[in-house]
Amino acid sequence: MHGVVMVWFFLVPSIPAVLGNFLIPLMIGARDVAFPRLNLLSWYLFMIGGIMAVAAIVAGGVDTGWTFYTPYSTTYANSAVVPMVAGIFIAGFSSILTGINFIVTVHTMRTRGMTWFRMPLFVWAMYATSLVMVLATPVLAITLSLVAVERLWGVGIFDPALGGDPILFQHLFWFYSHPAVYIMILPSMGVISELVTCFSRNQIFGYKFIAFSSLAIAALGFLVWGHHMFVSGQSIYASLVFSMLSFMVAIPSGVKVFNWIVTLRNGTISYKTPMLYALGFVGLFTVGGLTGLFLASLAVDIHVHDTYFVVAHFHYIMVGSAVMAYLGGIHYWWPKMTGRTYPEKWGVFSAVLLFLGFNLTFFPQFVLGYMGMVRRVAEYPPEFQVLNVLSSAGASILGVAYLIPLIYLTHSLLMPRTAGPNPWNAKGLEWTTASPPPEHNFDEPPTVTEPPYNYEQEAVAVALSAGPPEEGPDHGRTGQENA
Amino acid sequence: MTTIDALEPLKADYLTTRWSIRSWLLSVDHKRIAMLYLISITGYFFIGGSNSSHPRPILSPATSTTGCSRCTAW
Repeated sequence: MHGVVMVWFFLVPSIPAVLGNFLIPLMIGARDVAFPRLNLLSWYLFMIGGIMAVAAIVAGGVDTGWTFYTPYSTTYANSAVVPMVAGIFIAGFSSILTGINFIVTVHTMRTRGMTWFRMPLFVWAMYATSLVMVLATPVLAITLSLVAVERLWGVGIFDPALGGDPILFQHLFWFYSHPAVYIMILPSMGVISELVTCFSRNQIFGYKFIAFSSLAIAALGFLVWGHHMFVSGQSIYASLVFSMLSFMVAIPSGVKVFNWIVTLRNGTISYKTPMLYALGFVGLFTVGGLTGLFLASLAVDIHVHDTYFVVAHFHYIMVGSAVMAYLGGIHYWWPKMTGRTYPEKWGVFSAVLLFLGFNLTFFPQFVLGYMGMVRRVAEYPPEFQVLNVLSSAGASILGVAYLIPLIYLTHSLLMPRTAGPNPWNAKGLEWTTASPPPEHNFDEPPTVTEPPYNYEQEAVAVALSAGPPEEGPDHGRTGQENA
Repeated sequence: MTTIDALEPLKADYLTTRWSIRSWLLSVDHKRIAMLYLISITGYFFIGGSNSSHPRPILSPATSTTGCSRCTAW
C-alpha cells in the first residue's frame, strides 16, 4: 500500500501536476493551459481514484505490493485488489489527460519569440514526460483491467489453469512501469536544471544536450522493461538486449549530471535552500543511477534480485532524487506561487536534515541487500539487526525533515505578501509577472528576445563588483561564494 | 472583481480574485488547479509515508503460500 499510494498518488502527479500545471503556462508566456476544463477534470479523476484507493486501504488494503504480480493478485490474494486497481485505473486517466494538455500547450501556446530552443529546460522535461504519460499509461490501464477481469469473472488471461500466462502480466506491467520511473524522474531533472542554473548565476552548460537527453530518456525508457524480469525465465538473449539497453539509459542521464556539474564549476554558487535540495539531488541521483547499472548487469542482478539492494536503489531515485527535486522546486517557486517567503534558516536546516536522514535510512539497505536480506519479508536473521536499527532511526529523522517544511510553509501563508516578482533575481518569463501572478498571468502577452538562462553578463558583473548580494527572501545568510 | 479591487490595497492576484469554495473547486485557472493538486498530493504523501512503517507480515516464511522464503518475494 505504501508503494501504491506513493507511486500513483504522489510521485507520478507530484511535479507534473503541481509545478508543471503552475509553471508551464507562465514559463512559455501563455494565459493558461490549452484545455483548462480538461485540466480540472484531471484533478477530479485524480481525487476519485485517490479516494477509491484510500477506501481500498480502509477495507483492508492489498497484500500484493504495488506490482500486483500474477498469479498471486489474480488467484491467491484475499484482499481489496479490485477496488485498488480500479482507483489506479481512474487516476491513470488523470495522468493521460494532463499529458495531452501539456503537449498541446507546449505546441500551440508559446508566446511570441518563445522558440523551442528558448524554452526553459523544465518545459522540455515536462514535454518528454507528457509523451511518456500519454503513450505508457494506457498499457497500465488495460493491464490492471485484465487483472480485475480475471479476478471477477475468471477469464483466463494470466492463470495457466485457464490457459493464461502469468509472465505475460510482468511484460505488460513493466512496459508501463519502467517508463513510469521516467515519468517520476524526468520532471525532477527539469527542476534541477532550473535550480542549478539560477543559484550558480550561470548559463546552463549544453542546453540542447540537456533538452534532447530528456527525449532520449523518454524513448529509451520504453525499451528496457525486461530488466525487471532477468530471473523470470525469459530468454537469455532477451535479457542480454535488455541489459545493454538499460546501460544505454546511463548516457543521457550522465549527460545531464555532467552538464549540471560543469554549470556549477563555472558559476557563482549561493547555498540557498532550493540549491541545497538541488545539490542533494545531484549526489543522490548519481548513487541511485550508478547502482542501477549494478542491477542492469545480468550476473549481479541474479545475486541481488529482490533484495534490499533493489529497495535502496529505487529509493535513492524516487525519494533521494524525485522528492528532493519536488521539495527544492516547491521552495524555489513558493514565493511565486504564494507571494510569501519562508524562513531561510529553517529551510536550510530541514534540507540538511533530510539529506542526512535519507542516507541513514537507505544506505544501510544497500549493505543489507548485498548481504542477502530479501524484500517483502517482515522477518530477518539476527545478524542484520544493527543495520536495520540504523535504517529505522534514519526513517524517523527523515519523517521529521518532511514535517518541518510542512509547518513553516503553511505558517508562511499567514505572513504578508512580501516576496516581490523576482526574489531570486532569476531569468525566465514566470519571474516577469507579479507574485502571486494575476489570474490572466501576464498583463500583456510577453515577447521573448533573449536566449534562456541569460545569466552570463550578470555573473561577470557580480564577480567584478563583489557588491551586496541580491535581495533574497531570506532573513539569514546570503552567501555569494565562488565555486 | 472590481469591488474587490477597490477594497484591496494590493492588485488582485489569482489567490484573491474570488474567495468562495466553489470558485476553487470549479476553477479552470491552471494556478488554482495546481494548488488543489498541491494540497491533495501532500495528503497522499503523508498517508503513503505512514504506510511505510507497516511492513506486510503476510509474506513471512511461515505464512507464505509456497513455504519458501526466497519464493515469497512477489
